[in-house]
Amino acid sequence: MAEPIRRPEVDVLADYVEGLLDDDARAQVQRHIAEDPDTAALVAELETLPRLLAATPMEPMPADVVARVDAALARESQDRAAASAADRVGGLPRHRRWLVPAMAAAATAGIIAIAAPVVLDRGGQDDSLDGAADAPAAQEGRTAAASPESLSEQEDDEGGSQSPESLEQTDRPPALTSAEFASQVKTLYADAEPATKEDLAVTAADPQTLQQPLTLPAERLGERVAPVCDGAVESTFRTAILYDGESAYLLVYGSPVGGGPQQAVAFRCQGDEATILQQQPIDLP
Amino acid sequence: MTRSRPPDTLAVLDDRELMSAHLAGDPDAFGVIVSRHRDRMWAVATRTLGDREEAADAVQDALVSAYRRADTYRGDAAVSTWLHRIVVNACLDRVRRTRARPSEPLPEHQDHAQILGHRAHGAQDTAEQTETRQLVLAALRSLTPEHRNALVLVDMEGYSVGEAAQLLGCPTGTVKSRCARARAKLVPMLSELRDGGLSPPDTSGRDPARERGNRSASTSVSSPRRAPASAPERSGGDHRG
Repeated sequence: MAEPIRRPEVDVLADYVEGLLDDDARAQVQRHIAEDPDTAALVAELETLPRLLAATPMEPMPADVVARVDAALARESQDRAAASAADRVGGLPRHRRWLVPAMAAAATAGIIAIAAPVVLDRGGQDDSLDGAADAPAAQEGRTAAASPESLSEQEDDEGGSQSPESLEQTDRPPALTSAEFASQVKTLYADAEPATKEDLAVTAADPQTLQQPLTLPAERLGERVAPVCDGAVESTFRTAILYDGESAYLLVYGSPVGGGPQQAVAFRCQGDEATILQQQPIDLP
Repeated sequence: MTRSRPPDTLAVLDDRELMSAHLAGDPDAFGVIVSRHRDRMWAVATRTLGDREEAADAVQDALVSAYRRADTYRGDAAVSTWLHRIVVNACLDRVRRTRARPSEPLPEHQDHAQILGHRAHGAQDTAEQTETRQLVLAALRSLTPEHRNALVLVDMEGYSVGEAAQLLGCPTGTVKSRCARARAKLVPMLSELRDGGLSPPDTSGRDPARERGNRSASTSVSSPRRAPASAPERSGGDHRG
């Protein structure tokens, strides 16, 4: 710009307008403004600029972008409806099938979880028909009542070809221990099928939940999961686990933004009250 | 569980009611919310990212993410504010990721033409508005991403300096100074907006405080411009890293 050399740089004037100058510099600029109409005009422009910018007309979202956003949201709705229907009838997608008996047990025990469904320790289950004994329904006497009814429902849904025993056996929830919680959750993740990892990434795409549940008192956590319990809210992320041998649930959440660690929470809820058993930041790959 | 209802049933609900319907399983409620606010989401995406395809990706990702995590909406801010923040975060995140590459500002006419080439679906945009917008977008693209994002959040999207600092993950002083740098660079580029009388409101006031007080009132149409205020959930900062 061909301006007299003594005129303050436009950067300085912008700082002046933003109130960033110290007293001396500000006084100097004010002198220039008083003496030099061009400086005064430039300052006026700087002052006006935010208003001009704020008044910039918004372009309506272009039709092709509207279409792809709508399509993406419609897919979400379909997925959600499908997941919900699957949960209701027990016909979960393949990689979630092991959750079925666990959910049946949870229904009476008042336990619920939102987490990435993951499959752990599939090897070795086939050679132990007695593996069913490790399932929460069998291990926890208080949950046993739920099983017959719920399982017969599942049976119908599976075409009646599978006995409750075999279902439970293949679908046994993973066992975690307090001592090795973090590494076991990592293993869960590592062993998860690709589709499940995607799900987990989705859960993880949530900076707010990363912050929120940590500060939530247990009863608030219960509030949040209660609607999932009734089926009022679908969550595709439900993992029943055995935590130190007892039925519990795993929630994994976190933020991919900036690659912060995920959080893994094992908890149990009875009625509206959630008991957090363990909570730990975990660096998932 | 709530199931499909006729769309006009949803249209009468306000955003919060729609959120509840969405959480209760209504398959269309979230789409109605989006349709109400999408232009504003699109605006912030194109302003911060300066690239049409990036903006489209960012908006889509952000809205899908918002759909899935609707249960994190606390109800202490407007739904549109909540949604807007998610989109802003998605855009800033994208900017940060592309920062790995050299940050040469894109050639202006290239993107300009790109945006021009895809006209909006609505005809409600006058030629003059289009011209103003394109001038501003082209000018924004000449800024570094840091300067541009500070300016966009504070001067265009109505966030306070403090809120912008939180979103950008830098001190408020840095936000102010980036805004100042950005304005210094934009002033000569946008002088025709002012002189050409394309759309500016009256420019007689010379008192900065007064002008800044006015600007939100003069420009906020349907947007939550001042709404991103003091939602408690932000106190922890919702940006990691």
